[in-house]
Amino acid sequence: MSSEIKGGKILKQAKDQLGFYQELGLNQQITIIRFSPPEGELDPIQLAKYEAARFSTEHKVKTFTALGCKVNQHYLDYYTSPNQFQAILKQANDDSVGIIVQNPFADRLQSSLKLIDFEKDLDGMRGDNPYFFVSATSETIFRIVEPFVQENDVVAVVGARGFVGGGVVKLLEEQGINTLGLDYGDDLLQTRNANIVVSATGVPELIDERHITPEHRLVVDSGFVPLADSQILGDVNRSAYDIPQNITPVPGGVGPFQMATLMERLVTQVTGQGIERWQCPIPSEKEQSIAQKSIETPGQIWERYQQSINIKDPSEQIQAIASQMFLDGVNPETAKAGLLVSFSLKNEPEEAQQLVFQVIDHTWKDMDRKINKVLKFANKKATQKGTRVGDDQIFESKNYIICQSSTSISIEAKDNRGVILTGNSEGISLNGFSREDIQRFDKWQQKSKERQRPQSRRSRQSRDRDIDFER
Amino acid sequence: MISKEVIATQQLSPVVETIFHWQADDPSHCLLRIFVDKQAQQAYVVASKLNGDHPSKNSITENFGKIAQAVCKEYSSLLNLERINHVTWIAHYGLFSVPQSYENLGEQDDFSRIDIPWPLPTKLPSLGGEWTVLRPLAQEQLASKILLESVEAVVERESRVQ
Repeated sequence: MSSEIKGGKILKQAKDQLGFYQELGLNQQITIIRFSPPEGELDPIQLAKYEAARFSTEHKVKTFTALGCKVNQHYLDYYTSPNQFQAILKQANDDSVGIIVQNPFADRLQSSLKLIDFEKDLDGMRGDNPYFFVSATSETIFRIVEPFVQENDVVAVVGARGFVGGGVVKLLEEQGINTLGLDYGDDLLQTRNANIVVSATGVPELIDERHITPEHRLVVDSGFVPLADSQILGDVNRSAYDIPQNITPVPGGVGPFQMATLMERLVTQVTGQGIERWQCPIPSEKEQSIAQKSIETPGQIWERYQQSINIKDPSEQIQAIASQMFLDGVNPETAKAGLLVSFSLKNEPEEAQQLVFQVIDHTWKDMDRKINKVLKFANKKATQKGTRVGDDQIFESKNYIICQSSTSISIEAKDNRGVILTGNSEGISLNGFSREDIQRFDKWQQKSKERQRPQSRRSRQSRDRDIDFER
Repeated sequence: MISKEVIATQQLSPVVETIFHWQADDPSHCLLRIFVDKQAQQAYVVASKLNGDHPSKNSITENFGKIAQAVCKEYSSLLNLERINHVTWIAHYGLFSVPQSYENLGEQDDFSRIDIPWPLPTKLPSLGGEWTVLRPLAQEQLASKILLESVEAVVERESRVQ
């Protein structure tokens, strides 16, 4: 299993650290401009790009609001003329400390971006900005990649002729890092010869197990394609997620890091002060050793779990292993594949295996539901009972500290596990979260409910539910 | 009702079709096509942005005023007041205007009409005039009047000639 490089903690740290500058941001305005798709656009991938712009705008609004800024949003028609666009940019120059124009937008407007004052061009849209000479996403990707680069490494950048990929190539080459720029029309299998792969194409699932190898130290996926069925896809197909040693997942990978970069850019620009920059966490040796196990076959992974969970009843064992695999972020397909080849079940008839698959599917859904329930409860607790600290609501219980900010919620365990759950609009990330945590939260929720209703109304059914869950 | 075939035969063919460099001292080019409707004494000038020039420095958007003046100077015998009483200026963008990248896949053909007084004033703003971005219906109407071959095909033919 690969180590996932997630940005949630970095963003939270950036907010905690840069929250100090909140007052400096008061009464300052940021302008964010995005566009509607053209009339008659039917291509789901193109439409998803506009939807991604909406997501990104929402995150930026939350991020800048956390710094005390007011965000002025313009949602413009695709058919906006350069005259109209330039008038908006001129106005924004007058009343904002930062201006961001969300991709995609029509090429006819590209050259008008030079009207944005250098110091206000937070996302490096101009392309000739001495302060921000690449986009925030490009800088973010570079800063994720840099700590992983070793001597003579080659970094492949897919999408090298694009706005984001081009910026990454520029920064890598400036640092003398061997860069292999690939784009439309090139043989993408060349990524196999690189040590690190960056994909910045916006083409969902373009990169898969043909392009990624276990020797890849890091894969950075900067794609974000929200489809109509609520699915969010990256450039990298899920089938390749378990192959490299480290990967930035979508969602939850590059996105939060990028928000932290934008916060830094804004604070630097407004205050003129140098600030401590976020650093990408390199997985510890322990985490790296776990990552090495990514080379394990699904069967070996399954057997490892079997050894760690000492339940004899086969169906309960499957359920327990499946739920632990879910919490550890194992792909359900890997779980199923592992089951197929695991010693204990390989002699079972096909029907029995189908049944086991159903158990896994059910467990996955059930765990998903339970975690969302925990998140909802934690959210409620922090909102209703928490103490306000800066922009955050903090609630402390016997075993946990719940911290709810404007953009995310995190649950920290008071034992030595640290932050075990982080949730934001990009998704939920778990780190050491266990079934015991779910049980504790469930009990806690039940007790809260009990306290809210008269003792006499406590139903037998409710008590039975407690018992069922404990069992 | 007029059939599509009839409309097609009424389309004007370009009288000028060339890679046009509008300023000699600073590399900048576009695909220029001029169509003339002698009967109506109207001309259509279509400038298609080609990938390659600095996107913000030498874009046809920011230089449309310069382009209009350079075109009128270069083709003064074609675009003169005695023969033409109205010029429709069109800026054209598409996949051919941007680098060949995954990021740009799906880029649509995009036409804008720029309202510039005729005869051309001696001084023009950088944008040339007021732009109106053509919606699909207006694009269809334009395509029914002038025959616009794909930019890629024309550029390939032009580069073979040169």
